[in-house]
Amino acid sequence: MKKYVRPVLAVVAMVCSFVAATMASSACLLFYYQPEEPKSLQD
Amino acid sequence: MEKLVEKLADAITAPLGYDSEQRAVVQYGLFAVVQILVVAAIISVFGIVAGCIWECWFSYLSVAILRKSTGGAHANTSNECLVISVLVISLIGLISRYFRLLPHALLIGLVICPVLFLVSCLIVYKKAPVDSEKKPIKSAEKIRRLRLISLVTLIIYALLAFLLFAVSFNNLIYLSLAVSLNLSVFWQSLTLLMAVKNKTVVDKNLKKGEQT
Repeated sequence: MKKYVRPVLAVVAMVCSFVAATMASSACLLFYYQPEEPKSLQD
Repeated sequence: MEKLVEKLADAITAPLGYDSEQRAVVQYGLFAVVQILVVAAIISVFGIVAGCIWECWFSYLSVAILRKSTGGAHANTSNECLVISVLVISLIGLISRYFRLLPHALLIGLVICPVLFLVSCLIVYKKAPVDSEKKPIKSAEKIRRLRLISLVTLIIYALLAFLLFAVSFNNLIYLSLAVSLNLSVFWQSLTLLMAVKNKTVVDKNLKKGEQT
């Protein structure tokens, strides 16, 4: 079971990074709160 | 919600040995995913209970898609954001659902909705995209691209609204969806105006601070 934890976490991290990159190319997040954007995603 | 996301991001990135910047990117994406899922879950429950699930989802999607390119006003905290999002979407869903029970609902809709839509288009055309302090938009190319996407989105919404009104003559259920779409676009354009107003006040205060 333990050997699957790392790959699963890596996939989750990859999906989150993809969403972050998508949101970075838009004007803001979809709803009414905008957290600080990470430096590597700024213009 | 922010603290929960922070803990989740730690739990995901710590075993993978990510550095602080990689962790911040994962946290940013995770926050967006959690925000989308939580709002979707709450409005679904409200929609089922109040009998307006389709109207709520129509409003949810149309606000989210348009907001992605136009930007708009933001709450100070994530919980405030959650409350505003759920309240506004639920209210639009409810109004749209019960609008069709009004006498001459179709006629009223055919008069009010195009006016609201045109006003919204004008606001979006003049003001979009509006950036925020936490996510400034500096590149001219990006501003042009976002403005173009906003206008294309509005054209698609206009075609959809026209189609929904056309089929409303046979079935008033579609009138609710058309009203939901129009109210969502109007609300989004109002948040643009609020954001512009807030930004002007902040800029003035900053200039005053620099002069003193």
